[in-house]
Amino acid sequence: MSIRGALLLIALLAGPVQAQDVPFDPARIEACLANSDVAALCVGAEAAACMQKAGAGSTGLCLGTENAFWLARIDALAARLGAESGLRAERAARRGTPSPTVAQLAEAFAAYRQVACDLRVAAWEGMMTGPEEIDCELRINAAHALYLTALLAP
Amino acid sequence: MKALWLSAALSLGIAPALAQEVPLDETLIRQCLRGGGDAQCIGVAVEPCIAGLGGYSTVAHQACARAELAWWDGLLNEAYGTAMARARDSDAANATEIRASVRPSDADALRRMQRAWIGFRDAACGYEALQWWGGTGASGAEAECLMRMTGEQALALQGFARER
Repeated sequence: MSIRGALLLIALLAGPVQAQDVPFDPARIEACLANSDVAALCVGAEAAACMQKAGAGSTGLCLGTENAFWLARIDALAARLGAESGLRAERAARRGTPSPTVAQLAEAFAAYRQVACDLRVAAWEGMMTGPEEIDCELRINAAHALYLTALLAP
Repeated sequence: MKALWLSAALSLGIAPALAQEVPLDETLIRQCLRGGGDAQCIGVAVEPCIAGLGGYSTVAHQACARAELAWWDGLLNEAYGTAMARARDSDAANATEIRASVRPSDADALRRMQRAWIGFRDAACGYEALQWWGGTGASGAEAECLMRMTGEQALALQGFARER
């Protein structure tokens, strides 16, 4: 998450719904991913259910919690990919055909996510910019996590 | 109508045996999009194209994925042009706020996003090719990746243009 995003999340956490009250269950996302043919349908559903249960003032907290779920997943998947592809990358570099590393892929992804969400937020003003930005990050992070998952699939 | 991708095949260095014609049936993609298939339409013409070349081979796979990539790349360019026109309209309507730096320029934000996406696409598809490094599937995997990401970005840009 960007520094701006983190600050935004902290600000939103200071709302009327507190973190310990958030009705968010990551196991339901895991179950959805395990049982759905279309993994993209599992994105945002738990945040939506969370907002419905927690009511007014919970938007940022619910979106932020699901965003954190996908960020953690990206970190875990990138670590696995790095371990699996490190040797191949070294060999490719030695033979003069260097390819992007996991770290370079992560860097390019983060740069894209930042400006993609800047673009989405550009059309919004005032209080709506916060939830829009977190929703944007959540969806882009989730898509990237699903992409990394597919890369690791046998 | 079947498109002939001879020039694309030649420019991409596809084997001479295939350079005569890559039978990509782009109507499959158009029909899928008209039916609301969105991202599920990406790659829909590849398998029939491979069959049209006599069945699977890594060369046929690469040729067909590259041909469909060229189709999505055309759509992306068109979608980017439309999105940029909408962004400029929006900037013109909000010129005072943009000059006063209280609102960002849509056109600048769109340009930055597209530039960053190109970097992300290259990193992702280069990385995917690495997973096949040393194998004959690397070029096909990279072409599939480029096709998929280009298609997704074209559809995202169309969505942006519709919303603005």
